Amino acid sequence: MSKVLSISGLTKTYRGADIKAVDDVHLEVRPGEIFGFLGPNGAGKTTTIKAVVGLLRPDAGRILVDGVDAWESPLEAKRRIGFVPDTPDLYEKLTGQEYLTFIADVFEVPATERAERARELLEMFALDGAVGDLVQSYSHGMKQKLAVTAALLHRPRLLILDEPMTGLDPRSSHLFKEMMRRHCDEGGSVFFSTHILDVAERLCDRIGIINRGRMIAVGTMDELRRQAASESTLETIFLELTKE
Amino acid sequence: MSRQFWAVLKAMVNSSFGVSVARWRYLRRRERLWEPALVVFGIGTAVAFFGYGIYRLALAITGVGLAVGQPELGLGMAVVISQMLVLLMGFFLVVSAFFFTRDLTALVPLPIRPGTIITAKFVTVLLWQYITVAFVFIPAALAYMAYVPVTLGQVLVAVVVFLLIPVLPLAISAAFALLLMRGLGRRHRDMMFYAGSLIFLGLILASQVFTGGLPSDPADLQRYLEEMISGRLGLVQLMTRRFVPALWATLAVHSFPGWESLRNLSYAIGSAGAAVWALGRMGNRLFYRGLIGSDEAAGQRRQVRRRAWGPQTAVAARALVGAPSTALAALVRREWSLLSRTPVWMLNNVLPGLLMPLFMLLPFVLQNELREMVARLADNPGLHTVAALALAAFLAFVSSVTGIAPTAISREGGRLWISRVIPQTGATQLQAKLVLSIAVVAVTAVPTVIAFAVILRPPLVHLLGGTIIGLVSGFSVMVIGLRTDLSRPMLRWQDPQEPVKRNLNALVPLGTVLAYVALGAASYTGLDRLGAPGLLVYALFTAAGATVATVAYRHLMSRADELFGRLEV
Repeated sequence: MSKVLSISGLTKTYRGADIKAVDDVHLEVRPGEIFGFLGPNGAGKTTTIKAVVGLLRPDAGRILVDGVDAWESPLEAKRRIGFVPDTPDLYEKLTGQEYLTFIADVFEVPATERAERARELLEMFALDGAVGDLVQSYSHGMKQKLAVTAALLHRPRLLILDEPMTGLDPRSSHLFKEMMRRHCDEGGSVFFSTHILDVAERLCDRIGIINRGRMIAVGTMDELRRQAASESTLETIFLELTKE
Repeated sequence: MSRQFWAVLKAMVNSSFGVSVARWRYLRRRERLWEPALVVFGIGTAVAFFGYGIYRLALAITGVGLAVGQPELGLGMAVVISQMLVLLMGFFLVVSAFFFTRDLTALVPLPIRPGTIITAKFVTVLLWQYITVAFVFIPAALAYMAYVPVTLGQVLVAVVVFLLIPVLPLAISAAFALLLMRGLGRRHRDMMFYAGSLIFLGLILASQVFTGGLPSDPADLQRYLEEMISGRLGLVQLMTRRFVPALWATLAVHSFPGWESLRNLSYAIGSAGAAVWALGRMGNRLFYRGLIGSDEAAGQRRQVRRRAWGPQTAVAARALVGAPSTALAALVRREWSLLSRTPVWMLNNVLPGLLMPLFMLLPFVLQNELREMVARLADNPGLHTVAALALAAFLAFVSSVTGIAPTAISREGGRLWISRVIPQTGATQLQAKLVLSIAVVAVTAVPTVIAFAVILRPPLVHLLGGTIIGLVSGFSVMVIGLRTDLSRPMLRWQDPQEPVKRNLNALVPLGTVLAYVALGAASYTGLDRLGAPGLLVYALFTAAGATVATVAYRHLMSRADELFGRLEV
């Protein structure tokens, strides 16, 4: 089965830093799966995600998005990705509607499709009443929802979210989980990083754990338990694998 | 002054002047050490270029003043002009510092009186104003010293006067900003910005009407001056009567030592101190009323609308994401929306380009004598080419002060991730930025070209020659500015003022235009000596400008994707 995301040998060292932020990372995301990407602060999660979506140029390694090399054919790769960053830093001086129109235009979403898709997503996130307001008047959660709406507008094969649950209320958090599952049910895949281990344990089909820039475990919950030789929760496994 | 005030002021000055950043970058990390050298070189060049010109002008005016027994004429004019500049430009600076900076979200919750915040912000803006004042006052003071022997005490008084010059006009601007903001509220910030612009223009008009009372012809001016001196009013008093503090400042220096000097210095110090004190009091009463409460209004409006809308119909949903347009059009629209809705960007990137032609042209509109004198000169066919090249230089200069292109990448800041994840090439995204810059420069060029045509009534070939050379040169200036910003953008900023006000990239186009003007003047002198006709001059200048523009644009486009891909957020 072809992989929606395939990362091999990804390495990145920031300018002026002595340590590699990510070091020879390998991982794959399969069609229709939710892949949770876990790790302590500064482990390399965001660096990996930024390299995948084209925000950071890796020093070495290869990233294939749906079979397309993300750094050789970046536009083709980007068309297949929907990305939501850890902080929803959107254009504050645009209205929600203007932002979505902009995204629909640059992703060349057909006229017939964009209205229906927008209606569906805005209703789902209860943003339909606020979409005419400037983004600067939105709460954190509303900005996060708008960012997800924009990311899903072009029906990407791969949805990438960096810490999507941070700062969300329980209802919004529930909505996000529902949205991720629905995206996979519709044939897409989700790759997201999180610190919330309960969510990862219940939601993810497979989980990868990164520590100090290196992948230390990848697999389903059962596979992780086998690797850790433990029958306990993801939290215990995570703490065991990442302990100093 | 409370300890709180000094703490807030220190933080603001550190942030506004980039003291902490500079210390961290240049002293601790020892990075980009060429930047301070570039700043010194840039400022040095500007001081040498403009400062010397102002000094020569001040010498001439002081000479005229000395001839009629008033050597303080140049000094008085310098004080008036400085205070006018601070009054007019200061309004926008205080509005942006008081109401549009991001530090407000951190400052407002602190247990500090609003008057303390306002006063600290006022002092921070004031420190910037000394740069403007220095450009005008110091050359005039040097010119005064060239004619009149001065004592050390007089120099010290002049220093005090220099420090006092911007205080009162800036306090007036700040008070006006507080009152206006109180009336309009934060929700109407954009509207306030435009209202402020109109008032700003009104003040310029008023100042031009004031100076419009002076004859333009040098011979008439001499006679007029003599009449003034021998008449009821001294010339300095006439010049400064709209700004009495300017008279106090001038007489404090000129009458030193003596009772009159002390009296006028006391008035100047007293009025400045009273203004700052009053501003603090006003800040306590008005600042938060203009600032707070906007979000509540937004939330209320949103809830009302949600109830009114109900579930979206298919028709309404279609309107939600608009009709499709090309990616380039969408990118241009985004650029314009963000620029036009961020007042500090409009103020720094668009307003100078719009105001500069108006500022230059108003004297011609308001002063019949000046207009007629220029028209007489324009009848001389030998000056048509010079005038057309001056038009070209002016258009290119306006392009350089319109800082849209050289700050285009920097302005994206933390939002650059959006540009990086959308499936559009770097070349397309840069084209969109250039299109907006060209559009704004084209708009600012229209009044200049029309006024040039109306005042000088040049033959069409000269009008077209100057316009084409100016626009072509302006285009290359924009491309060079954008290329610079692409190489080293200032992406890490919290306050939207930073990428436009503290961005060295914005100086590159100005330096480029100065080089163009120097090269153009030398080339024209050579061509004129060879007896080259105007048409040939235009053809050669256009060809040279088009070559530079084409090479610059092709270079930018050829490296666009690579350089855009290197930008890391």
